[in-house]
Amino acid sequence: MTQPFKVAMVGPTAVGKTTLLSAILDQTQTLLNGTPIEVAAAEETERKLATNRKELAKALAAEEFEVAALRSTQQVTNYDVRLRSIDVPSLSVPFAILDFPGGWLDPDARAGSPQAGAQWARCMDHIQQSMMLVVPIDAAVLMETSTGKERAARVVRLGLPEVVEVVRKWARLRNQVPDEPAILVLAPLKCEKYFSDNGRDTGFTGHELATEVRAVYEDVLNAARDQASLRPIRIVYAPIDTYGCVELMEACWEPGPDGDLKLTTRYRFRGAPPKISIRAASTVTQELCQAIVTARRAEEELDRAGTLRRVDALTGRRDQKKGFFGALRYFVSGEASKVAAGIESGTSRLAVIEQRHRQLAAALEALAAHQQDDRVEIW
Amino acid sequence: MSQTSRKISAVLERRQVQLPLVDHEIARWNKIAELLARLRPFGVDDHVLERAGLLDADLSDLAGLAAESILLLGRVRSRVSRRTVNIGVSGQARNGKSTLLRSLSGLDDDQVPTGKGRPVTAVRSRIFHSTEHHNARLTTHTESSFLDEVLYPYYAEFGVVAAPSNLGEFTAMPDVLSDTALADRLAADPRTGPLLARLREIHASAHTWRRFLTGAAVDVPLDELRTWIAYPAEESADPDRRYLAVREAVIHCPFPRTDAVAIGLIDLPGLGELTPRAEERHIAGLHNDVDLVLMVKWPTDTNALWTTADAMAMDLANKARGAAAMRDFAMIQVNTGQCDPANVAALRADLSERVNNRTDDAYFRVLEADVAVPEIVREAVLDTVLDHLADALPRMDAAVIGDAMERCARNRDTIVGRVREALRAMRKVVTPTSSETLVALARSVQAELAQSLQGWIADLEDQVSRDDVSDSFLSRAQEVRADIRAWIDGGFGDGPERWQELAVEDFSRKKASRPFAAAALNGVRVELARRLAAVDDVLLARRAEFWAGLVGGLGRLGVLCADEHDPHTALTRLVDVLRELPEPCPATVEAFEFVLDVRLDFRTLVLPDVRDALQLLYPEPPGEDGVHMASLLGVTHDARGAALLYQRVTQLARQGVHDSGRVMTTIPERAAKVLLAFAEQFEDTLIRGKEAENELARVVDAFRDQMWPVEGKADAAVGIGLQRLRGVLADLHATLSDEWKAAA
Repeated sequence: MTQPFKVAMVGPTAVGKTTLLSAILDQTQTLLNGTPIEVAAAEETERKLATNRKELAKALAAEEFEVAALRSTQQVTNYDVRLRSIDVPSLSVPFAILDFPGGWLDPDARAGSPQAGAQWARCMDHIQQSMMLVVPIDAAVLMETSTGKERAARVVRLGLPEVVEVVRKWARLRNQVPDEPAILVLAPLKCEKYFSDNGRDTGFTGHELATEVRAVYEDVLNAARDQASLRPIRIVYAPIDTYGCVELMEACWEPGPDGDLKLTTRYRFRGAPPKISIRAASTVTQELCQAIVTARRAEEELDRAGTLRRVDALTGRRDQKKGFFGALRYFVSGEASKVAAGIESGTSRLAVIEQRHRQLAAALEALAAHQQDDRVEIW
Repeated sequence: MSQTSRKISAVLERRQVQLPLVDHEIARWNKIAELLARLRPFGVDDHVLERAGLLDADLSDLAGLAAESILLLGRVRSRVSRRTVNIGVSGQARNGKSTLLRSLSGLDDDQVPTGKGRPVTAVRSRIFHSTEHHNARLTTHTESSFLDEVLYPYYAEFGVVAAPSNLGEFTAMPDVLSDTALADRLAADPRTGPLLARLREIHASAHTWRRFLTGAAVDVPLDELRTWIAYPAEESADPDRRYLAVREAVIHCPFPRTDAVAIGLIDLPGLGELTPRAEERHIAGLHNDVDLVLMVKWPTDTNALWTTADAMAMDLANKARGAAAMRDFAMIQVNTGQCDPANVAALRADLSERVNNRTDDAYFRVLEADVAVPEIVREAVLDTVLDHLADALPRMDAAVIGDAMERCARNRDTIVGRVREALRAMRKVVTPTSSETLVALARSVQAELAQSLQGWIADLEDQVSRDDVSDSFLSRAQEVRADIRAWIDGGFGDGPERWQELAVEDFSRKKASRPFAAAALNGVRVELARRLAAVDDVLLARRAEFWAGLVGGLGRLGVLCADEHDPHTALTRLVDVLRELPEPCPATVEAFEFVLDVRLDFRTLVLPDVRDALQLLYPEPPGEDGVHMASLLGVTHDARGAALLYQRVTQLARQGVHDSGRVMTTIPERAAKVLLAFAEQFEDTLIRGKEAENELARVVDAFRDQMWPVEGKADAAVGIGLQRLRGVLADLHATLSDEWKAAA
């Protein structure tokens, strides 16, 4: 079976990855409003997202926003989402997003975790095939430091050493497939406080955050650039407001159970009632779509050019069932629609299927072409 | 008065006349020695002496010449200041020295003890004729002089370096030497054995002498004198050795010969006695106190010939006579008492043969008398001696004084020669004028100041990025914020319930929630800004450190701060001093006033940013913020609405504290930068300002003495010690030549 486009996510626990995914899907859906294409999640993923939304709803009702209330996990989580045709559900572009604990890169840590032992091989496989690596960053942990000790603790709390290792590993693997897309997304989350473009003039312009990310994640950026010797890696800086209506109220570094300082944060809602106002979350989808669209155009270009060498290359790729080009050929370039058409062969639905496939392709193009959030920077 | 007496009195009077001249000469040589000593520091810095052609070794030589002149003149002074003619009585122990002294002085056995078979006089005495006084004045040792003059010579004789460092240590020792093997070896040695036994006697009898080591002069009646100056009887079980505590005895008593001219009898330490440094002390006594020495020799059966020991004793006199002729200075007194005439004849023959080269009295006059018979002594000894001295004293005085003066003149010539050479050498060296000196000094201060201030600035620069400097401030800021949060959580001073009650009352009265909310926010905002200023104490301490660093970096200028400990007071004092200078230094004063004016408080550093952070607490901000705020402040006009409003105002207030806290964390760096900027500006003005050099020269001119308290150092600082050196050499030259000529 042809596998979906793959995305990997690595970051510390409790940074709000489920909330991030929820925001990505919500904002992407907003962009697709008015088209026959929707954003859908697989059942398991939908359940997780629903739990997360319920907790947020409760917090909104209570006007008391506690980060700790949103559950976090220390395990591998798979999110299966897709862009699909509303009335021909079999026509879709699926994405498999793997969220795994960065600590698993350490063999000792894996040895101590039964779950890691069981799933590490699959994780590695997924990372190897991921066209995009998303690094969520807790903006408060990054920004709310003033002493040397706090800055030292920040490195631990951001999971920086692990992130550097994952990025290095992923970039090295991407180096092996120079024709496939490679996108590294640095995504500071809970950024409301550090921008004045989403409801309140906080005194910050966003520049401060970008400067800090560049400085603190310098090793990450270098790891990506150094390893990708055979191909460029697109580095996208996307500071995301997953809520938009909350604002950091207090932050305090205190000794955690492990002895290192831990940041305790409290947020408040900006207005009453609070209104969700997501920023820059759809960047992830838009970047994915753009990569896919670009790759498809390249394939079509090869088709048209038809030189012997290129045909050989193309033939070789088309034999692949797995991986990016397998997914591209199957989900985007028409094979899936042919399968669907085959199922519906001889019916009046055939024309509809072809139209829906064109609409899906158009949606991808539209998402890819949609203006990025002003906050987003390509590094 | 006899002819002899008159002659001697005349000699003594002539001596008195010379005393002021000798004193003058001594003063001059002391000045020369002092000027020579002032040359020595020039050898330390800048090699100034070398440029004058002088080496350290030259200085030592010249100082040696001056010291020798002072010593010679000291001896002359001893001689001319004497109001008596002093006859020293010398000789090996047990030859009748004490007996002779008794016969001459009229003292008896109680005062000048004699004994049989062993020496009895333990203390050096000087006996003077006096019809008024009839007593002895004893000068006692101090513990320190006892150690130096009595104990240590023994240890030195034994070659022991680790002698007891104090008397307590000495008396507490089980034996006088801790090294028993050494003690055994010394005891077995015929030379050191008796000395060790003597030291052990001293050790064992400490309880009898130690209490007298006061350094005081003690007047003792003559009938008690014996116990103080004589060795105890051998048979005593616990011998009283208080004589050890006596440094010198001066005895006054009426001599039997009433027409005697002023005579002093000097009991010179017994030669051959078992005390270390006996010879040294003997010569010192001869040098300083004696006009003529009588060497007593008792030709008993075993002592009839002139022995090597006698010859050596005479040699000591020879060494001490100086320029005086030996025949004038020394006589041999043969004690004929209780002697076999054959022994006397044998000695006489031996003296004639071996001492006087077969010509009687050729080198030494030999007197014969039974020294135990006062009448004989007076005639055969004293009269002869005085007759001799009546003629010999003027000769000896002339020879001794003339010799001393001649040697002093030679020394002077040598020193003058070297000084002239040095002055000639210096004429070739260009030295700065006084105004050039001043400028050079000012520049040296400026260079020194620049260097130390740059060190201070480097420290301040370092502090901009140092965590430990900011940590103390940050922990104080954290305390302040915790206090403010406690105030917020405590219902803004009213208590949460009361606050909400007041809110409901206001809602009811005005039929609106926003007026109360607005007032509450305004109150919170003002109070936060006020309470945050509590961090000022740390900032003021930081500023005080800054000033202290500056005071520390002022180098020589720092003396103008007096000894003020508080740095602000110290700098203020310095400014006051500078203001009162006769030649004004406005730019320097302004630089110090500027640095004293540094503001380092919360308001100056961050209030604008804190105000920005507190914008959050304005009830009606413009634009979208205003919409949000309005939505937060509009609540139902009941208890539930009041609780909600309380929650929201509390949240806003806490965020205000947090956000302003962010600003506060920038204070350490800002403060450090402000201090650094002030320091740099100050240093720039003080060192490189248009008038900097001129003003510094004025300051140096006014406070040169305070800035260089050690003479010569100021010059060394700018390498112009030559000028000073020239001054010292010129002084020296004047002292050596001009005044001398005048005196001549």
